[in-house]
Amino acid sequence: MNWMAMSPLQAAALWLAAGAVALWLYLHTRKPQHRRVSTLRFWASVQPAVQPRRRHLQEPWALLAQLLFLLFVIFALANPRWGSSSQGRDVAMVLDTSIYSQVRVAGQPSWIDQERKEAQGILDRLPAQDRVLLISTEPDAPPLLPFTNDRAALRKAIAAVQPSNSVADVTRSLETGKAALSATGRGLLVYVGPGMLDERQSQTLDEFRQETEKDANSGDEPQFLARLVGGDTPVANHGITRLSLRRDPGEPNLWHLLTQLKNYDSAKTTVELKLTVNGQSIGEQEIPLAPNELANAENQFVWDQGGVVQAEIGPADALDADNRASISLPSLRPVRVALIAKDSPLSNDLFTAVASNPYLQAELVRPGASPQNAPEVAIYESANPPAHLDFNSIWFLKGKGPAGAHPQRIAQWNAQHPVTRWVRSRDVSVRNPATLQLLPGDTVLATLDGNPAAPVMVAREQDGHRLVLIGFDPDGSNFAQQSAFPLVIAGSIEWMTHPVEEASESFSIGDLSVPGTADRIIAPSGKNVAFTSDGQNLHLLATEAGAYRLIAKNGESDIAVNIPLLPSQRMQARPSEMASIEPERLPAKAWDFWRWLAVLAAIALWLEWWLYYSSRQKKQLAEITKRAGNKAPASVQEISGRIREPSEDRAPKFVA
Amino acid sequence: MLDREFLKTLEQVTLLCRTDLKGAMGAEHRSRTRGPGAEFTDYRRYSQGDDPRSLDWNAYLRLGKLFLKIYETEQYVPVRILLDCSESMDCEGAAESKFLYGQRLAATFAYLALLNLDTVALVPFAERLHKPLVVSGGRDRFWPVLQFLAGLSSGGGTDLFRTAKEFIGNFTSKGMAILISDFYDEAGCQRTVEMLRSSGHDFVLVQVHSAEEQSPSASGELILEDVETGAHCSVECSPANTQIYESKFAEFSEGIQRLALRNGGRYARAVTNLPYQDFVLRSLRSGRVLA
Repeated sequence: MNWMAMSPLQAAALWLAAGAVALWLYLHTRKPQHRRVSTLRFWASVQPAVQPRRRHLQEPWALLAQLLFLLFVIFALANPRWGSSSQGRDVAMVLDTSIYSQVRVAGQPSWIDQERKEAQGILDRLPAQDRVLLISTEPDAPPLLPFTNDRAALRKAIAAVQPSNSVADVTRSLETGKAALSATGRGLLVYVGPGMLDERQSQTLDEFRQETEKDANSGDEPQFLARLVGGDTPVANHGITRLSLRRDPGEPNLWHLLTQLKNYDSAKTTVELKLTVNGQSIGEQEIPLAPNELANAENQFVWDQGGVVQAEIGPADALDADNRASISLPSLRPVRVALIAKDSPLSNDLFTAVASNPYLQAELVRPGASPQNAPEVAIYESANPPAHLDFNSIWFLKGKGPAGAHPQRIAQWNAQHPVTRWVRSRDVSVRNPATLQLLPGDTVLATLDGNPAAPVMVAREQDGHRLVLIGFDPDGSNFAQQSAFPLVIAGSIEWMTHPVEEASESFSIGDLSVPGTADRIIAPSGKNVAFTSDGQNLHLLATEAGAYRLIAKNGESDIAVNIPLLPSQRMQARPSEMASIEPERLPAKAWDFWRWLAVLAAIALWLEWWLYYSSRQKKQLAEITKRAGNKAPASVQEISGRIREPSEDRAPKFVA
Repeated sequence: MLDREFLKTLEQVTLLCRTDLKGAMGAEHRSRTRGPGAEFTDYRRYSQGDDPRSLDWNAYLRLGKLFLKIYETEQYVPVRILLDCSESMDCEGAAESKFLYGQRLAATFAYLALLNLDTVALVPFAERLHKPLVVSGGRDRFWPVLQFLAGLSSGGGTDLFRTAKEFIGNFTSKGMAILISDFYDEAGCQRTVEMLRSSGHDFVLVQVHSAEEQSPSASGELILEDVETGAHCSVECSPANTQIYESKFAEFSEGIQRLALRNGGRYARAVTNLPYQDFVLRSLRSGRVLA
């Protein structure tokens, strides 16, 4: 039995409350009426009403009938029904709001409009009691609308659906919808969209279909329907899929730009690539693209400042969002290096080498003098590091011993550390190495041949600065003649500052890991973006294309997020997926009680009335009989007639 | 208070005075006093000392006997209308107000008296007599009567005996006394009636009551308050008790009626749900208060 309007508990509570009111009314004695009369002389012989108010039931059978009446009425309102009830089925509708929903083919409505129309059509065909869940294909997006049978809200939600710049994960969205339907055991899963899949999605969709069809025989799986928009014709689209920038190692202002282009159409096309930096054109190029070709275009340009490189291709096509991309252009930041040394062949050679590097800004400072600008890296020769460091620094420490001492070979280089990762030489030998005292946290970069192996090069972090201790005199070794020397110096400077050769890679919509830290990230639309940080990298989900602002305590930087390589396969709907909506299984015939309960309530009401008034009439009869002595009236009708018969005295009498 | 059509109808009605009252001549009120009137009523044999001017000489010539012609005298009869203005007359509400009904009856009696050129005294009373209005001079004096009656209000208790005493003391000459009241005096009205009789007044008792007073329609427990005394009592208004009440009321009315007739007066009972026109033109006529 189903209780359609009220639960049995609610009906019982309501009946108890109404029954209590009825009982109170039966026990209640009306408050006597107050009347002003001309005289009390005629009432003097009437029995005064002095009897106390009785609190016991005078008409118990009438009360019982009243309670039965209330019971039947409340049960009729509760609308109990024998048999199963039809509560409608659950429908999960997956709306593809990916970037492909922005496609607009000339002369046709946009695909998102077609999706909206298709979704509204499905909604119209669903019975009113069906509950519908709206899901979008955006990754990690909440449902557009939870399960509801509020058709107005559903239509409003469908009309408000907007296309995004993300790539749809159709299979994942379908699995989400299927999971939402799993609780009911039957339902309808509908996909509405263009059905653009990549290789992986195509594979997972096949698996999903196989699983759904396998379980469909059990009768508990939902019906899966696909409503594809856009037809079968290929989309005439070409887009930029990647931008990559690299600074020329020899010429800091020379940049190499790599633009990756994709022709999604099955026809050959030629696109015109326009490149700008901060709005200033740096080149145009026509690039022929074969059907479905992924092509690269390389360009070079000279730019001595930072900014944003924008690439745009034409002519306009069905999908405009991927026709442009941008990438941040980092500005050149030469590292200030101070060489603090006496006049020696090594210091002169070292200064010449450092000063000739365009990424470095070198200054030679004699011992006791101060550098003109605070250096980012200082190189000290034949000096011991002080207790407190002011700069990142490289220290050459001279050991004690005779000039003709036997040379010792550096046997091992630390390949894991940035300073010595490129050094593999085993030909470096040194005389009179200094004894390096290792502190906690020090990293040994190189050790001498021997047992135990003595450290000869150490990396240390102290007072917020980094230093590299080289425990020998280069003049007393062949280190300066070896290729390891510039690699160690360059590695040390890069470890202490930043890479001198810079490259920039554009980001694509989706999960991003961006190096650096930030307190706040703002999307191109101005919304705050949720992110996590592991101290080195920021992790965020980018769903919009454009420049994201990374706001940190020490400044603000931008990252450009572009449209990724889009899926290019079309989903092929199977006949069963294109079928119409299955009619719902008819529920077992239910039998409504409320009509019979209403009839019973009417009978109970009549019974209560009859019992109540017959009891009162009997009481009046008894009273009159008592007053009239033993002469009892023949019947109640007689009493009623006596009561109602007008007195003869009512007509005025006059004396002649 | 009285509609124009009803006043026109009243011109065909005369207030009937049943006893021989000695009053001033000249009015148009018929009385049983025989005298030098204009209207012939009978013959009688001549006795010594009779006025020879009344002899019917034609009858003497035809019959050879002396007969005296008797004429009916039209006398001046003072009409005193005592209207009960006690609180009990006005506790039923405007719909069935005994007081309003009594005012209308008083106005009717006054109009009839003025039509006959009688002198009318309107005497309101409650526990004692209030200031009366005395008018004479025909129907043209009816307007002050209406104004006087409209200015009356109910209030106070009922003391019929004291009222009668003061009335007899104030109005010594015999006349017609019409007492309009509900007669709800705890002391009764027996002594009052006897006093009126002994003073020689031709009196009419008009008992006014409402239908509700005669047969209460209420049911259940009632707390009743006497409007005049403020006394309370709690009664159960059951059919049996209502029956007792009705019989007591009937006994009361019959008692007043018996008392009036026994003392040579007349009695009429007016129920306020009966239109006053019907009461005047039918009931008072059949009761020989009007002719």
